[in-house]
Amino acid sequence: MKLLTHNFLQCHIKGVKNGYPLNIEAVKIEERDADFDPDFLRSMFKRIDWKAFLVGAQALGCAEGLPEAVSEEQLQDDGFLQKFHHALLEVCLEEGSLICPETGRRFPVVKGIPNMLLNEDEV
Amino acid sequence: MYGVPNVRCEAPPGEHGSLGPFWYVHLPNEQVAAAIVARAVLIRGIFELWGEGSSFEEMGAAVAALPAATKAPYCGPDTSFKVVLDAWGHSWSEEQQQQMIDRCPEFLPSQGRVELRAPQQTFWLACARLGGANGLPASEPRWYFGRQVALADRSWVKGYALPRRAYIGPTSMDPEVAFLMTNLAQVRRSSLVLDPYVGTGSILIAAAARGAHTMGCDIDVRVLKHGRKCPKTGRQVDIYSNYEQYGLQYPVGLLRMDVHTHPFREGMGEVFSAILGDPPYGVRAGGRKLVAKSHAIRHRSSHIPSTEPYSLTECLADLLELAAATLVTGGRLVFFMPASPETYKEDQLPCHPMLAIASNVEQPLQSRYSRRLVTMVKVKPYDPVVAAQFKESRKDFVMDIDRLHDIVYATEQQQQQQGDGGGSVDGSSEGSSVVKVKAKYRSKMC
Repeated sequence: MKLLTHNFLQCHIKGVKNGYPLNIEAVKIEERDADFDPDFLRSMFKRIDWKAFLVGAQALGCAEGLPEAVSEEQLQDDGFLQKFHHALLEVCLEEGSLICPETGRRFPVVKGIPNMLLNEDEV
Repeated sequence: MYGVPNVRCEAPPGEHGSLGPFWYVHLPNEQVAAAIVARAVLIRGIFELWGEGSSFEEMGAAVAALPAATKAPYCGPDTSFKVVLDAWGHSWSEEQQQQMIDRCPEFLPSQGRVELRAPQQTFWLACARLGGANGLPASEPRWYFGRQVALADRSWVKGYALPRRAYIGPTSMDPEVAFLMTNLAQVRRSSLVLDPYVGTGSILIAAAARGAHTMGCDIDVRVLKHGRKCPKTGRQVDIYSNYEQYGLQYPVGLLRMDVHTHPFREGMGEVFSAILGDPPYGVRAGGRKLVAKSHAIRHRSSHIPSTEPYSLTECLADLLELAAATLVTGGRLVFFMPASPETYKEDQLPCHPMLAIASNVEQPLQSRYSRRLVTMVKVKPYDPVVAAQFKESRKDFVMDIDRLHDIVYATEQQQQQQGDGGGSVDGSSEGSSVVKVKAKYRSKMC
């Protein structure tokens, strides 16, 4: 699972108000090359929550060099885009857990696949 | 997709014109035509129409009447050429073909030499005849003469054939159809594509082959994570194996989740360029969803939540709602839905205030059962209030197709009984969606 996906997920247990972003406990991480596509990166930047992305990047150890806030110029800067690209698309969580910040409920991640199914009493 | 808005496409004239193999299309230039043909799976070629008619003579006369200036650039003495004869829906004898070739100079002013293997210009002389062996309603033959602008080479699709793929399942999408879906959804490099019923990844593979980034979800842990043991090599294969086989970029995420109670964050907004999917029809692979239950759960870490059957009506309503909320405006949803010719009517199509139907095409599967490939476009930004009102107004709607299993597997006897009014459908007095479908699939959880 890449950080792009993590950015879209929340804890959806009924009644939970602050289930986003999910904290990450990483047990195994893998890095895989991805094609560098600045247009895709710029369009994704508009669609993600940057603060949540930083939370994920810190947990996966690829937050270095990523600023707290991103300016328009940086979106055209190759240096920034390369770091953003790496953290967004090349660092994959293989084993670990996604953890709800409000309830502590763990969503296990196995073979890169998070199990987001709720139990019957959480729906 | 190529900067050409609203391409006009017309069927030939006549009562059954739209069933014929040749249609008219208006394109601004040849580069666009070539780009379209390069990725199309159902187009054989694009030709510049020089003449047509209901007879060979009429067609020839039309070509002859075309201004010389139109023909001259392709007919010069230094331009090698050949003429391809195409009998659609019938065949010509060797003698007939030779006669036609011999008559071409009556209207084709080519001065160059004939070159069969790699000519500089190729002309097509085609005749479409409906009726007879091809099973289409009979109509008058139509003759066309045109200059080849772009010809499809669809051999690349064979490389994705299912028998050679590492990981497939009983409902894996035929690659030609999967690529067709990517065309209907205008998937391209830089697209972010979601398949909410990813299964073995057969649709996502096509999207990834177009250069898109892909994300898939499924409620079934076996198909997603466990995969299966390849009988030949003994290795465990799964969706990732398919991506590796074709050298495609891994998906950005595979999620085990329930579309009905999905974990996508509130306020996620417009994220996906396209959503492509083949929802469970309930015929071979039944859909499941999570439900709230109040019994105590003893071992939370190893608990497998129980699920319930998920009617197609509800499944499609959830799909359209997800698409309306998470597609970019202008983005497309492409999905299949089962339709028995007996029960299908326009009002059976699911709908949504933010989505407009772009196309709806039938693919016959068996005599009593077909499926429809529906394309919807998100035409306005998502408004949760309007969407909620719409959902409320449709809460009693149930598709006839939720009886599909009974229709497909009905025996002669049952059909007779149903005809007599002693149906096998159980309806509750509230009139809501309680239709008993025989439970015939195994649990998806293990």
